[in-house]
Amino acid sequence: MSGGCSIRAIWILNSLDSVVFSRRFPVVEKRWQAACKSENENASEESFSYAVYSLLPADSELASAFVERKQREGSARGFGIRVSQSSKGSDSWVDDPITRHIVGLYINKEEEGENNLLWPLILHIKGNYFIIVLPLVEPRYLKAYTRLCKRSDCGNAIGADDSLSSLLLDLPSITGAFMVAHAIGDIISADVAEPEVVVSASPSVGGLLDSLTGSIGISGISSRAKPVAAPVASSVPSNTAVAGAVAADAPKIGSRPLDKDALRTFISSSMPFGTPLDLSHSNIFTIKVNGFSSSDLPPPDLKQPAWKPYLYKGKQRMLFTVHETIHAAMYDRDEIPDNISVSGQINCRAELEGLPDVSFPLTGLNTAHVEGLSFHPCAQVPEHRADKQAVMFSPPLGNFVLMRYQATCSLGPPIKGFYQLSMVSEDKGAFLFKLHLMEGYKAPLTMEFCTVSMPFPRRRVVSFDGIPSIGTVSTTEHSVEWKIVTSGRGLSGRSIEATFPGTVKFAPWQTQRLPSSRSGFGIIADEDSDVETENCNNVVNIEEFLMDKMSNDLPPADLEEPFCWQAYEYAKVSFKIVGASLSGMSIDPKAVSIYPAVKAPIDFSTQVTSGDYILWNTLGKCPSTAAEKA
Amino acid sequence: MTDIPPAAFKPVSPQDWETLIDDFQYGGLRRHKWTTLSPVLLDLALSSILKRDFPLKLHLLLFLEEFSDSFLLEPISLDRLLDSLRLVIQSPADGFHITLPLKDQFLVSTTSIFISLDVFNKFDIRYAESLVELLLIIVNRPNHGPDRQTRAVACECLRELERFYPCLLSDIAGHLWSLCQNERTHASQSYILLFTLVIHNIVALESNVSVLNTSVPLVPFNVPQSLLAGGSSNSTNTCLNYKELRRAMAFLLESPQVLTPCGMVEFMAMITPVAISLELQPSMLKVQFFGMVYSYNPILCHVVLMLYLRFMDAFDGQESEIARRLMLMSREAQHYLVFRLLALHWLMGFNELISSREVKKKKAMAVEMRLSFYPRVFDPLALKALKLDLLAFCSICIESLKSESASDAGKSVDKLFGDGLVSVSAFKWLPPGSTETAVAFRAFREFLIGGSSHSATDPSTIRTLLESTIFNTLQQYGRWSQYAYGGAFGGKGMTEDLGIVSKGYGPTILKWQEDGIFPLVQTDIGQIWKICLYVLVKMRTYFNQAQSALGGVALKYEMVSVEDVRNINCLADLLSYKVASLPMKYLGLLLGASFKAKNIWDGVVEKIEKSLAGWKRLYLSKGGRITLIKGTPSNLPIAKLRDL
Repeated sequence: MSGGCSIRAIWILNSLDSVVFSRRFPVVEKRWQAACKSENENASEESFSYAVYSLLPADSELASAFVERKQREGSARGFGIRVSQSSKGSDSWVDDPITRHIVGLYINKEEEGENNLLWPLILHIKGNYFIIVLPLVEPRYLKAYTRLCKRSDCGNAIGADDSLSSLLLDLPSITGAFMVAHAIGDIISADVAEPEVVVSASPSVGGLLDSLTGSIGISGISSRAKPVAAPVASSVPSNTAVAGAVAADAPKIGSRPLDKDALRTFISSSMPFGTPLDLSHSNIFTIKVNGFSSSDLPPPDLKQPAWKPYLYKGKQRMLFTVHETIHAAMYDRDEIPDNISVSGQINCRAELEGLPDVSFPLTGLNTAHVEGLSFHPCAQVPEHRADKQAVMFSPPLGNFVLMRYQATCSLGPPIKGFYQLSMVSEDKGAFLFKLHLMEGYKAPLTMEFCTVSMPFPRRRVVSFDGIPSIGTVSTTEHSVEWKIVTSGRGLSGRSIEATFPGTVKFAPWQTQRLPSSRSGFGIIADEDSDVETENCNNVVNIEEFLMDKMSNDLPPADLEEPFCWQAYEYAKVSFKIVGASLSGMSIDPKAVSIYPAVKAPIDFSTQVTSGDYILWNTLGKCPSTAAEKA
Repeated sequence: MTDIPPAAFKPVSPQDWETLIDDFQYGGLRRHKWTTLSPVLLDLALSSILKRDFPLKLHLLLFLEEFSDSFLLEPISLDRLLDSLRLVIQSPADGFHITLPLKDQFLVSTTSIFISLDVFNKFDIRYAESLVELLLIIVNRPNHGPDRQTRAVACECLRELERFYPCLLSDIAGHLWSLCQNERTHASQSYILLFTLVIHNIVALESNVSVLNTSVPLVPFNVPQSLLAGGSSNSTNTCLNYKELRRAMAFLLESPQVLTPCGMVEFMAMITPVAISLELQPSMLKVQFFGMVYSYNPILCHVVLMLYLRFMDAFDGQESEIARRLMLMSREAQHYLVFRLLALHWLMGFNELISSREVKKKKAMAVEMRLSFYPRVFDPLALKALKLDLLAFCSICIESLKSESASDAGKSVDKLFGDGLVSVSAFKWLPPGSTETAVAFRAFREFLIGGSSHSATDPSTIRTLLESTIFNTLQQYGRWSQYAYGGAFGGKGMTEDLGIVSKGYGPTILKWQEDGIFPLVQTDIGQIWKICLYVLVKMRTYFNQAQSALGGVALKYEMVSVEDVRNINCLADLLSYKVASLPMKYLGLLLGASFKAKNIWDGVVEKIEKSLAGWKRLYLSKGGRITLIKGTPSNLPIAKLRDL
């Protein structure tokens, strides 16, 4: 039965590379062995035949294979693309960045010969832990991958037969295993916060369990902590907002211990035989804590969906929150246009009795330049044209993300202007900001706070001099922070102009030699390099010289980073705007209809936060891309 | 901890069990030392589980399940296992000693042990029958409130049994169907999946049973005769009851909105082959399920793709919509990076697939979409790399379409290449080991050789290369390739020299290019192709200069292999090159010799002495001389080496 998703085993390793949790599914393993047996019988007729490794390794074997791969591939994730250190048979030999997530391990490498590759192992890193999930695939796919990572050509080929792409297209079990790995990751980090829904008057509303226990009237058994009010960016993969940080392949030491009981419960309920049935932790833990009483009657005429094990009882209302994150690259250059994009989502909470359908038109879509809409599985999307502008859905319990969209900013950038930094000597820089905030933004739009920070991850800030036209300035060891609008003094209904000239002094530059294990790509620094430092005296342009010197030992960026942050000078703006969305996306509470009709108040709010909102130094280098124009 | 526990040692306390479980999971010797215990392990574990206040009940059950292969199972232990299961199931859940999760897990573990030890075939059939019967009794209480989760679990157990012993439950399909229709709690998903699997197996094995018939009672359960006979002889009746099965399908196709995304994956995996066998209209499935492609749940999108793969004809005309969706999915910043990468991979696999079906039209589609593959500034480098792959694929499509249409195809290939590389253009000044360099070089190669057969043994591919547009434009990127070249080949001997040469001394490179000596390096990467690329760039220069055919002209160019290159002679023949060996004179120096050796610099010293002698004749002011003295050494490598 191809097309399903089953898991053979799950391992969790800690930062010391030892297995701290493992779970095997003997039933799935039995299917795998049967498949191997028939594959090996068939293969004997072919010219290209070898047996596939058919056993599941013990924890110790897996751990040592993991360590071996880590050494061979430079880091736990690996190189990702083929580099000179890649060896034949390694994942990076395949020359595809996704091999940092879908890895292969050689079990008992020294003992056996060929047939000991364990693939596809889904690698998900969460906090200190490496989560490894092994889905069931047909043995022929394993063979195909073995060929891929051993072929003697020059790496990834587009359009070749049996390419990695066509394998991945054929294997939903890999996709499913990623879902499993991420669900487990959320449990490990106790990061099970539901999407935030804001009520205009009071702070954010709690999750599923609270709504249930509240409604049933037992508030004492709320086993979990109140959901953390997560800003929109954290319910999604971290966009590595920590600019310039050396990215984290090596997990930090020392965080909370593994809650093995919670893991066991989750795995046993979500996939009793290794085949996932429901990965929603809130449902699973609520069922575990609450169970069902005989007063929980199923609906009289409809089937209760598996994703909604309980029905809401109590006062009815609906809440919608539009969350938008603004990413911008502001260049202040003629030849490179500024680039602003909005990624938004509508979070929803429907406290409605029974199994009602809700629908509403999306207003503002025409002006919003929305380029892609995608929906929660509970939404019914007609076959043709998803962008037909009405949404109909049957809401689950608790907070959920009803839809996501990518859009452009309909209002113009909330912060525009420039940042210029020029090194007047090796250790001293003069800078100038000139910014316009909220230009053209009308009354309900309020900027709650706005902070600009200049990170200098590779220089130590010694002193700083300068007074901004508005706001306050502070420094840390590696940055200068300028608070323009502070919370409590929101900026509403008017725009302001802020300037900030100043100088910043750094500690003398020291060559940073990073341990060679981190030099992931290409040449290992050449000690005999003929860059002769004595000759620099007559180089007139300090800036260029300094840049050269500094860029010479820049560490390579991770493939998960958009570029090498440390190679650039920039200022990062963080802000929060409430009152309306910047894309124009909005919901008219009067237009929301509920069937069967009930009278329920509908609340709508918006919240806009900054993602990577970067002002590039006008006088320095900046990363850019070509515009998508014909 | 002693290495070998005494034979009489029996784990009793929770701590003992924890040690034992750890040892089993660790494997190797630590597990081996418990072998003496294996005949009694199951009994010991069961008695611990049945103790009132044993704290590790669930954990121990999981252990039994995972390591059931290490028991020596006797019929008497099976009796014991079933009795214990009955005991636990029938005890009221007190929320402390007997909890609902314990009951659920006991059901799952017992079923799992039965399947992994193949109790059906290896032991008396009555064991299997009593397990199935127990499960059926639990299942047969639709809409019963408090134990709905347990009923769902029992359905899953039955489904797993049916999966391993197909048609085990086909005789009672009628009962299952009516249970399925009646169940209205959230457990209905498990009932639906169970019934779907029964239908699937009936169709797959072409078993002639009626799914409406409820004449066979649910309990007591008897294993069907066809299964007992050995499984192979059941093909006597090969006519399916199409009418009834279609009715069952119609019922099942009504139900998907109650399924979770994971449930949907299972459901579709079973329903698709049934739909094919029953010759249902694929458009029916399409109407029902195509909307899932607009979900942000990656697994649901994948389900639609799987459906497409099975019913390509029914989805004809929908390709560009699917491609557009996948492209949008890769842009969703809210997704984990890996799902954005997967979306692009699916798109590539999808493109390959459809271009193999209907070449021209689908290639045109890729070309139309090319602008949407442009990397964006905050795309992670991994995503940029894959987008560049897609652009390379587009350029191949343009190449292959260019003969028929657009005369400016060449121009747009250039544009794609140039525009694409802007996103990683930092490789020009970042150190050679930077990730940007690696990505840029990868893309560079992809553009050049993506369209060729990609096999080092096929000489025709080099000819194809020579004719490609991208190759024509490589000249202007020659300098870039230099950087990339230096970056991508860290390592040994000569490549190090090249790395230095390529660090930015423009004149030297030009000189070198005109020189016509093309080092062919087989690095530890072992990629003849990367090097070919470089050679080809050089060859183009030669073409432009000489404007003459390759053949017949005196061999002017030389190739040098540093390590063993398999087909260097073949390549040299093809390109009309000479094969030379190291060390050789290159830019006035001995190439291939260690540049730390003193005597190889003799020639350089001599030449510079000559130059200095010339300068002495110049009458310069004192200031001028100082400037010259200061400026010269730093520029020597650039300016003077050129004249060497």
